Amino acid sequence: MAVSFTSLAEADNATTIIVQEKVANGIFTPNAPPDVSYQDEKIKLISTYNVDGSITINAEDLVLRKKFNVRLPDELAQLNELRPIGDEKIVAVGLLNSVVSIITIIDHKTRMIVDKFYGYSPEISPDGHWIAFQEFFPPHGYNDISSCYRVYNSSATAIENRVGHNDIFDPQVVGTSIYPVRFNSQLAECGVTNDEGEFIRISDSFTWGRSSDYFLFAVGEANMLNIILVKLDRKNNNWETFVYDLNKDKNICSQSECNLARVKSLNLKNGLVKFKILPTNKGEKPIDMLISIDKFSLAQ
Amino acid sequence: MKKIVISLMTISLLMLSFFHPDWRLSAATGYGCDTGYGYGYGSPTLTINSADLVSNKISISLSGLGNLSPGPLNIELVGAKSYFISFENGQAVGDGTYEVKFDRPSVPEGIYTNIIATWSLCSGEVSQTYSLSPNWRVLGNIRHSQYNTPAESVCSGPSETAWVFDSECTFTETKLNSKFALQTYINGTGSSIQHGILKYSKKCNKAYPKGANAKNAFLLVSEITGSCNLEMTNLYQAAYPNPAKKSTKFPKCGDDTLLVDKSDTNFAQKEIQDYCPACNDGHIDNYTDVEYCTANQVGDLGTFWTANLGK
Repeated sequence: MAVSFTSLAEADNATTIIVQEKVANGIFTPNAPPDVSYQDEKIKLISTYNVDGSITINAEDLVLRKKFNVRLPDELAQLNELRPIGDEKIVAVGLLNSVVSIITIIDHKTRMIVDKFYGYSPEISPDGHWIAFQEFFPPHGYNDISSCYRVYNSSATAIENRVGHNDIFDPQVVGTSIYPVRFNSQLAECGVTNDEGEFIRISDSFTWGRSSDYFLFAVGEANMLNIILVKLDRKNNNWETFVYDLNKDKNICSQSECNLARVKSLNLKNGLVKFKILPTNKGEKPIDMLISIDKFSLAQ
Repeated sequence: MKKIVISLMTISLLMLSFFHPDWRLSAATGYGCDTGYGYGYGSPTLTINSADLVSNKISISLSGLGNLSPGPLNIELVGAKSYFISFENGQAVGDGTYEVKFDRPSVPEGIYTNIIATWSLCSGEVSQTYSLSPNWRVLGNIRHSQYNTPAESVCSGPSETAWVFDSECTFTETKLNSKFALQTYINGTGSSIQHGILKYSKKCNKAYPKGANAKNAFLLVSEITGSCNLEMTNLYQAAYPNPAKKSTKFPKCGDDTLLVDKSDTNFAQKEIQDYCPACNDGHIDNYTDVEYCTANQVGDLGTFWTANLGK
């Protein structure tokens, strides 16, 4: 089954963002924390680092003219992004250490933290409904590495994001596994636990379409270099994962080193997935690629 | 008529001058051969004596200029990409031994296999190719993060019930500082007061006692070793892919790395000794033995121009 392009519409955000200070991935300076803030016509969010090392969000509801504070989880070391999700929730994304992210979901009405989870390189969809991320595993001590890619539904509850899970506060196994699809049950752990990891992400992060109904990323392993397109259906809370193996078609990475390739500037426009690829880590010039989404097939 | 003859002679002289070999070179390089010493050819030779990226010194000897005009010395670092500099901003140099320095932070990412030095003289170009062994593998200006082993001795706050287990999956119930237990789970390793080094592991997750889980039950290990099986120190780094894996061609366990700051000053020389699965974006994680409870005090080392020098 090929991916249908017509459903991958582009849309403009309804909310006008007045101020948004956020931190790009890859900087961890908790002793000199970066400024992080957000303001639109309805809400203003700023952050304060407390003397004890904790971080507080100072929120102002500009419609109701009410101010409130929310203390974020103690393990959060650096705040990187703050933003509302619709009128109901606020999401705070930060770092636990140099590489692991923590995502905190706050209920706007109760002003309470309603969920938190850990992961790598989380990217919030433009409409705030979804959060794409790589499943958490401890970064040091080289066992139990997970290469599972997930999506969190921010409009659902913590329990709904842990269907069938015994521990509703588990920060590790959260949301829905969207790749690899052989582990695609909603609750299950990916099960990818070996000492090397597989399906290594070779794109810097997850690239969302403006319409929030798809995102792109790339993974590599041995002779396989997969460009992944995940289509999301917000109305039915459903998803489909489409894959295109670039190496099978174009013989990009020699010597079974697809996990060393780097994919940059991924985007989708007019039915074409455009990106730059560095086939190895040997300093060669990037190759511009343009792949029609007709070439993608439903992941089995 | 006399004027015409003089003009023809002038044109002839100009043409002769133009086709003289030294004139052609000077037209191309801007360095004339007429030195006032008269025309003549020496036996110019160029020798690259050594090339060292750590001291940033490429020693080049020039000799045999004779009465030729000095000429500019150009150096090219050659690989998948190339990097070119003109010694002394392209000024002419004569016989002597020179120490050439690269502006290392501007050398782009890539594997460099040779250095080609070229001395441009009236008599032609003299050059030598110097093979770099091992090759210089420049990683470019990359992020260097840091990681430590959380220490329970400096964690404040209450304790909680926890478990430690050995490789036989024998569990012992204990108490661990709550903050420390969480940091051990987040980080992957921790140094406890009572039980020594603890490590996150799901190896015995089917044998968990009631109440135990991956967040409060940790494997007992004797020391903090990297994937290359050496005890970690401040001089060791973790990189991607796993340097200990046989199939990994680069980086390998024991590879030396050089970190250079923006002002082209050496910041540190370290060694790859661990695997960093989250470093697939190209950054390097540096181990630090500072005893902190949380990561708040262990920020990034910074961005440094980095080269892997092999073993």
